[in-house]
Amino acid sequence: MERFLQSKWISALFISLLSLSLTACPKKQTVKKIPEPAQKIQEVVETEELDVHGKDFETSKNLDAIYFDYDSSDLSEQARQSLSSNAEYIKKLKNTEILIEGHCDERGTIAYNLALAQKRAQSVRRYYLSLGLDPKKVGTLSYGKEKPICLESSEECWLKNRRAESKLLAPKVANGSKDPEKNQTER
Amino acid sequence: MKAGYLAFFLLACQSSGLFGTELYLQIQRGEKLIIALPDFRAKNNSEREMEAAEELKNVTRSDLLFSRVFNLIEEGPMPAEGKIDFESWSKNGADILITANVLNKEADKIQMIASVYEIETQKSIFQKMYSSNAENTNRMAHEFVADLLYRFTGQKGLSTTKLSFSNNSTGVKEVYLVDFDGTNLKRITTDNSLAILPRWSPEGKEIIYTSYKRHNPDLYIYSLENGTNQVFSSRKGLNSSASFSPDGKVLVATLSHEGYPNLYLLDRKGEILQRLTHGKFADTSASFSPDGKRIIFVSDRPGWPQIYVIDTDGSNLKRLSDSGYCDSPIWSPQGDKIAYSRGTNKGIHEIVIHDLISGEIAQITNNQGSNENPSFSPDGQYLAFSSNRNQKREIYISSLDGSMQKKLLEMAGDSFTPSWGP
Repeated sequence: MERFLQSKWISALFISLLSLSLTACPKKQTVKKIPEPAQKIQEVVETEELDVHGKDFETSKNLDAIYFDYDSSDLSEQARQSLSSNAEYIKKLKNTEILIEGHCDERGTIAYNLALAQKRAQSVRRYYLSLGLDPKKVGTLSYGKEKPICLESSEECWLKNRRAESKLLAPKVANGSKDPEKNQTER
Repeated sequence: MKAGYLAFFLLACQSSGLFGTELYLQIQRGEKLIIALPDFRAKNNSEREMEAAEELKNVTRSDLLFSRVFNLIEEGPMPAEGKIDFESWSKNGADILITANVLNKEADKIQMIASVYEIETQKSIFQKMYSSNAENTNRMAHEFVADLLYRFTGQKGLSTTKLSFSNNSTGVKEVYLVDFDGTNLKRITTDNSLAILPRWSPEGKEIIYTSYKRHNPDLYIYSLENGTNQVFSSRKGLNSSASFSPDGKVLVATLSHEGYPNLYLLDRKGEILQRLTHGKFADTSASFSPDGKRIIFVSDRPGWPQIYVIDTDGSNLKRLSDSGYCDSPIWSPQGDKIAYSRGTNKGIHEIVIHDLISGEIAQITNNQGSNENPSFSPDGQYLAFSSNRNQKREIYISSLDGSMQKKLLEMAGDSFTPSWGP
């Protein structure tokens, strides 16, 4: 079963990569929708996503961040290796909820980077699922360029900021839910 | 607002007849009228009244000058009760005389009675009483100038408009409102997380924005009438970059709950009407054309950000930009132009205006920091955008040819993503 999922995943990834390369010509005036099959697989997976509203997640020494090329949400070979070892660690924890936070460098607008960082988080989530993590336990959160870890305008800094971090659900606080929505009414 | 205009028309009709017609024609020919603007009078000469009279005159002066329809003369005989020296003002070359009486009736209530005269005929063109609470007396001057402009140009100008933007002076980004002249600043979120990307509803009664208040990027609507912040869309994943249709009935937003961050049309309750785009793309910063039939947005379809347009039924997807990194597009209120930021991979962006009819692209900013997120003024004559030309990111206002550029306001922290409301 797991093998079947994996091969299905690889073909889905292949189809979406293929469709991306078809639409990559900068002079092209119209862009066609990507093929149906890839979309269907994508929607089935995404709807099972963990809802992270009101939840607190924290970094773990055992989970490595991964880094992206400029304007890209593709996973490098090095990123895949890091994610594989992250996944091994997560599997040992059993039942833990995971958050993948997507981030960008400072170039480009706030809105564009929110969308790009969401794609980055989703790339990681897909890879985790292909490694057998439970879709319902893995959520995504895009911070765009809002939470840089390095503040200079340099290639070095930009590289550090183009990242996805995997975080673990924080232990519950004694005072119940941290979701402000549940504790107080909207004002 | 509507009642205010009605009252104004009645007054204008009763008192003016056809006075001011020649002046109206003069403006239609593109000639500037000369307005005599003596000091405003404090009715009872109380300290509060004199303070308000001076403030109201200053606001009126700067609003009139900003309109670029009038020239001003301020030196001349001060009008007394029932006695105006029209001849002296006429010698100074003035076409129109403005007089105003400022009255502090009750503790916190200020009134202003403004009168506008045609100097040649010595007749009243219109007279109107404005009132306000002490907190925002400036509003009366803004409304008076809007009425005056409407009388002479058929458009009320920008003096009563506001802008919304986000600013991080509290340590996190919150959403703010400010009058078009940089005064009357008001914070509308207290989320203490990240509140960003505000956009006005067409009527100016609501602002939609993205907030991380519940540890997820969700869409909220702030009501200016009720002062409430209500959840609009809080689906899993990204809920961001929403924008109202021109009739206010539909919104377009970026959602990622079904996969990649794509565009969706939603109704006023936040229910999805239609998914507009599909595929492994980052589609965002969407906004409607003024006829409501098309949507302009940014997408990374080629592998980097470019401007695209799509019909609101999801058909006719076209790419509009073809060079550089193009981002944060917005349609002009007249529909004939779009503005966006265009830059390099070094992160330096310039504001450009793309004429959709001629295809010409004019650059508005040039080598002054990085400039992003243009927003047209409701009359289509100005742009607001953010720029980091002076060490930090701030909101600037610019004429469409870029010749006049000024900072909107002095404020601590950095300011982002202006949206110019009605």
